[in-house]
Amino acid sequence: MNIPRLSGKERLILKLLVSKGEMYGLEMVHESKALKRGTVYVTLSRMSDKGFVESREVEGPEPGPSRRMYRITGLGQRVLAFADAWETGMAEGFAT
Amino acid sequence: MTMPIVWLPYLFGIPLFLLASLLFYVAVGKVTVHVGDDDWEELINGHKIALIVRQLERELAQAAREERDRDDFITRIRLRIEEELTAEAARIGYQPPTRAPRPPTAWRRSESPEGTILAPPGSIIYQVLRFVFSSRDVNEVFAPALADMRYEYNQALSHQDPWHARWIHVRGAGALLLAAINVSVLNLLRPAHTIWKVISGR
Repeated sequence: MNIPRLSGKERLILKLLVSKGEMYGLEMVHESKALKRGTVYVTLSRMSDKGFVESREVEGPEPGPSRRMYRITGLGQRVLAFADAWETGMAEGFAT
Repeated sequence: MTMPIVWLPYLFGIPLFLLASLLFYVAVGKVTVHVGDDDWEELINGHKIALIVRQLERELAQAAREERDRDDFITRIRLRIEEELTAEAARIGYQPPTRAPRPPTAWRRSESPEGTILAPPGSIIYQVLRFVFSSRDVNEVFAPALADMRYEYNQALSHQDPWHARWIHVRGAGALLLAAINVSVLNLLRPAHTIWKVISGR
């Protein structure tokens, strides 16, 4: 079985999206010290390619590029649940 | 393992270019002004009235050479200017500019008395990124980063904090450059990863 892997930042972003719902990249940066402005959008783009998150453009009053709002997909939720279960299982395995 | 000499420009040239670009941004980073439709109309109408005033000045200079009674001359000048300006303002629907505060999302230049029209923050670097990178990278990575940076910038201006806005401008430019480095590295590694997967049969 080919199980998608999650990096630390990807997992953090998925957890934020599960807890907060739809978010802008900037809001994620404000919520977490581990996420930086220079890397969060690259990570989100990669996660979008993998199908973990999906995004929509939000038109603003000014001309120019639109802000983008992200939300977790079903695949993202399953991958996050699997990662959490895996970590819990590993922790219990080490404990016993 | 020896490195081919063809890689040297990529190793040293690109980081130096990005560093120089960041320094340029720090040096010339300005709080910018956004000119909306109303402002354009105000500028155009102001230009028309300036032309009328110049024409009046020529006519009145001619009259001044022939005029003897100074007080009557000045009164007639004033009345003539008022009549012309009122008629022209009514014709073009010109409203005198009000000094009400602009909406908080408007970009403005708080320090320049001449009110120079500048591009919104991050425009130059965004144009460079659009030229260098694919549209997919621009739409997925750089455009949201720039839009969020401008949102933060406007928030700082709406709180009457132009220095914080300048800092957001510089920090946003640095974030865009960092994102450009990340995307460049990923774009370089992606073909190598594909080739490795083909060779290893995974």
